[in-house]
Amino acid sequence: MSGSRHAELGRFIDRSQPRSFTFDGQRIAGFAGDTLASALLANGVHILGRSFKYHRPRGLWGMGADEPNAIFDVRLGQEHRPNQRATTTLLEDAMVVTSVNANPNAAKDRFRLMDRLHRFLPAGFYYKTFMALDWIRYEPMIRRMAGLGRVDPGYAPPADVPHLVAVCDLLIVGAGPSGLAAAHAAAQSGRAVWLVDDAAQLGGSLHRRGGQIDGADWTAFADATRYAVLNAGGRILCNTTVWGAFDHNVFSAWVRRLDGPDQHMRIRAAEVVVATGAIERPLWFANNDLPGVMSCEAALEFLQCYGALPGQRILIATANDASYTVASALAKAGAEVTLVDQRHDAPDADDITQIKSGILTAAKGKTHVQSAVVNGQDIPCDAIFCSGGYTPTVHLWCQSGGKLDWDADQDALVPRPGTSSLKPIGAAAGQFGLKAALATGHALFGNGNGPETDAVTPRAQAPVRPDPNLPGRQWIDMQNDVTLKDVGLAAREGFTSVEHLKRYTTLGMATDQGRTSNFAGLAAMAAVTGRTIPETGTTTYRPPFEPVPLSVIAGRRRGDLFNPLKRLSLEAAHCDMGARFREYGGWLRPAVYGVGAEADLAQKEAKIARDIAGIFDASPLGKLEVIGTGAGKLLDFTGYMRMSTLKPGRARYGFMLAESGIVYDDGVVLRLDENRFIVSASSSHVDGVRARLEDARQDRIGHRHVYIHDVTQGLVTLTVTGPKTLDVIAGAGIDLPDLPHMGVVETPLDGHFLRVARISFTGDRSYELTVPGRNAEGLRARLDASLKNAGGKWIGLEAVMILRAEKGFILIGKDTDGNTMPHDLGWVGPMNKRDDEYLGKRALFTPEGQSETRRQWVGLRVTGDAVPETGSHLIPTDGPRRSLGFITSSYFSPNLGRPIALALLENGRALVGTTVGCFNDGSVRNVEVVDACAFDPDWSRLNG
Amino acid sequence: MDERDWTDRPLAPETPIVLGDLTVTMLPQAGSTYLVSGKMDEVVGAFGLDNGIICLLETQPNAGSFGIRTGRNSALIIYPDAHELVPGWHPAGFAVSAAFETYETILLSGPGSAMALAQGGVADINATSKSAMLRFAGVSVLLTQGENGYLLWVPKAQLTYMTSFLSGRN
Repeated sequence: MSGSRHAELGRFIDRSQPRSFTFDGQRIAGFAGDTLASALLANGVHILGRSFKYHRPRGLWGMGADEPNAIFDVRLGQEHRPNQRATTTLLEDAMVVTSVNANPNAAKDRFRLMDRLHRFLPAGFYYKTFMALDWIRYEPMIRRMAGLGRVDPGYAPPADVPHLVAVCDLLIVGAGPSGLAAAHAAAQSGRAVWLVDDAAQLGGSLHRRGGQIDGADWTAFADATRYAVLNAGGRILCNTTVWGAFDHNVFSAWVRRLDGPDQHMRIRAAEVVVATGAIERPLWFANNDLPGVMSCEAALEFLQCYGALPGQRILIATANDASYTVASALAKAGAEVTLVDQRHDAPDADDITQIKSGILTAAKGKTHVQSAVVNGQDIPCDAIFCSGGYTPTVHLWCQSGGKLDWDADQDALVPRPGTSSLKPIGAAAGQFGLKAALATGHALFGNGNGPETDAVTPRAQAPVRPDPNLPGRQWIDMQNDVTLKDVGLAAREGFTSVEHLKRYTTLGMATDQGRTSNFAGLAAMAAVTGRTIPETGTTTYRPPFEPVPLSVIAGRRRGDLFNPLKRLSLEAAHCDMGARFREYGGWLRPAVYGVGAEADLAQKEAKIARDIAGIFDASPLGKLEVIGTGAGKLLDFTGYMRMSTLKPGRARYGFMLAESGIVYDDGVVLRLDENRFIVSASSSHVDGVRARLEDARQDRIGHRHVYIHDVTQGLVTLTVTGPKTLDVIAGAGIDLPDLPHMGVVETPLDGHFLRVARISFTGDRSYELTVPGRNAEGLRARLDASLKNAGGKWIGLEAVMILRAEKGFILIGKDTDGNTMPHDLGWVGPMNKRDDEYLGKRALFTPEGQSETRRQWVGLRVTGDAVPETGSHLIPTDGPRRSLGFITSSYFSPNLGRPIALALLENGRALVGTTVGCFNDGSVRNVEVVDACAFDPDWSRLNG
Repeated sequence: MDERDWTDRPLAPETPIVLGDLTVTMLPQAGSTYLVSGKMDEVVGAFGLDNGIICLLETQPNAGSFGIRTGRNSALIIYPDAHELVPGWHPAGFAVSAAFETYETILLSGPGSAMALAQGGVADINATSKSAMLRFAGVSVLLTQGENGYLLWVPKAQLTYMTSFLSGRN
């Protein structure tokens, strides 16, 4: 194939704006408006890639999303875009384009010898190969050789794609002739239309095929439609691919913009029209994948829209009337054209060499077409353009739940009326030809006669099918290197379902999604199994219609906008006090205060908190108010510990279990009055605990008797802990009521709300002081001054972790795993005593829940100063080495002067007093199994 | 690792953030707010709300007390001035909690406000809804209208994230 640029044709390109780029190191010239494909074609570059498996040379086949071969790696400045289709990528100056799946490049690929081994690489190659012995030795090499482009891990595309929610009355997908007619009629009747097309301009196939509409050039009708749509309050979206249809008429659209970041839209449409046209099928003959074999429609598109003439001696092989326009246009552009029509009653083609009843059986050439074999005779040519008919583009229709029927007249699967709310029109509905497209589009929304055209309605095409008896290798899926023989082999091996065929042969997979191959696969499978095409069925159409960059789907919710952290009301004050922040349970909280090594600061804070006093910000702890006459009943059901027996003014520690019996969360429940509780969920579990409470409230307890309010973020809680707690609080001018441990009271402070709860997460006397956010700074300032006077210190979460570990207080998710039940943690009372139902109860009594080998919560005593690594496995000191459990928390205790550790250990409580091995990074040290509480085991400090 | 460098576009009532054609202004906090659930008819009567309970995208009154519906049988009650309601269960069939500063209110004004809503939302905000609560930029917020633009009631701990999200829009 020898390409050239026609002197006049090319409606999309601007010859006054030259552009250049490199392809595999070769400089290529083009114009503004060119795609990479059109520029390469015009420059006569015919090998654009290598096939997936056999590394055969491949050139252009299609003109848009249907292109299976020309997939490139594109770099522009710092930007890297892998797997770009040449046919849909606009040429930009200074692009560096390289072929994929080739080494060193497509033209000189050193893996091309793979093609000679094709007999050893049949359908199902991967399945068969990786069952063989020692597959792990060669799997990495095969994996490296397979695939398309590679992502550059060093390049992170900017997170700048906004996601937009849009609503429209009428969405028309496709702005070809049928879409234009529908939009024109709808807009004139007052409908607000969104007209969307993936091309840069309205018109679709009219750009290449042209035509007269209402007595004028079609462009006048397109302009009138644009005006009517905009005038009626509608919108025109070009360069926009509607790539998925979802429930409730929600459609995803990728808007490609040249003047800014792309956009991603979720469009909710009251009514949707599918005018997505059709995709031309290939013909199946030996070597039909050679560079130079191209779709007729694509050849016409490149000629008319880009002025790229893809060959000089062209053979057109067809079985339908539509290709005659292509032949005529190519001949008029100066090419020598031979038209081969399979039909014996084919119409006469004026001024073109024509062969009727001509069967193309093979293409010849090594790296590009040099001749074609027609009826057994060699015909020299440098390009073969072929058409095996048209397949309606029904992806959106099927994604929305629509079914397909076989239309023998049109030789295609077409939408079955009434199976989807979408409205297919034009070629997408199997109505081919300009006249039918305009008529079906207008009929949806217009009255009377629609746009007139003098275009001739094409005759039904002659069915064309792959011929299994034809010698040579016929490709039916060029992207995935699937041949007609592969389908036969799959059928012989029992994979006769189309879904099995797809997975066994990879037919219709990857970025191509079978746009040009599915029909051939179905037809071939139907032929070899003696079924009809409808009996053979189709594979499932799934979004996206064409590949969408992950950066578009991810949008802006990346980096620091991904999983955003909640922020403390007192964050600025903590900053002023020297806090260094970390994320804890979805909140940004002070880890330590001051300058220096974080571990040293945490040790110092933990020591001062034990010796004098410390204050930490406990605001993220959940504050879920459960209110109503059914509140006690609800909490009894959702909690492991019974809460309805709690007295007003008191608090109780408890667990919430999952239905599997696993401990989901722990925390304190406060009862303020007969019908009002506060669930103090873990910081990271507030939303989850609320959801579980809500489930039970609505489904079990009765939604009119109890309600849940989350006021976590409206309140600030400062916890004062340590032996001088009372001094600090008194020094702050706060009169504490006489509260027992686990007592709670609401009492005003300077006329404002204050809740005081005597709850300890450190083992020392502690008070949680909770005030509204607006009063938090006042409370902080008072406590801060008093704390300094007492010699105490603000402590961060790292110190709190040490303090709670010294006392053996668990942290759900850190000290528990996905198997931990409450009795593993030593809480057996409710399990043995409660005879009522509660969430997770039944799972506790299963054989697994009652197993004697469950991992139980224990402490570990370590000799020496070295702190064992969290996660270290515990193993027997003798006998075969196996994991008995692992360390969940491990710290150096500044108050004990030695390391402490907590662990989940198989049958751990029975092992207290014994020694187990602690295995980490190849070394083993002995540790003693002890009670989890290492500090103040008689709990004297809690009331001290 | 110092993790202070998170999204940081704090908003103060006296300093609006101007983002091209969008202005984000933090409004002063209401006098007092309450979360109520239960029989809404009883709530309106019992609390003597001046302006009733408004729904999604309805206009907030300039003066007097009102509610914003947060669900089928729940609402956020707003009093411009300090107001004392008894939290807990009310025998008439509703529950009351003081909400304190659970929500901060930000005003989105200017020509870009509709586009800002389109970028953060996931639902059709023009569809009528009794509840003013919706997901916006991944956060559950309340959406109403004021005289000068849209009003977003954002959970207090997520206000900084929200202003960062709005600052980075295109």
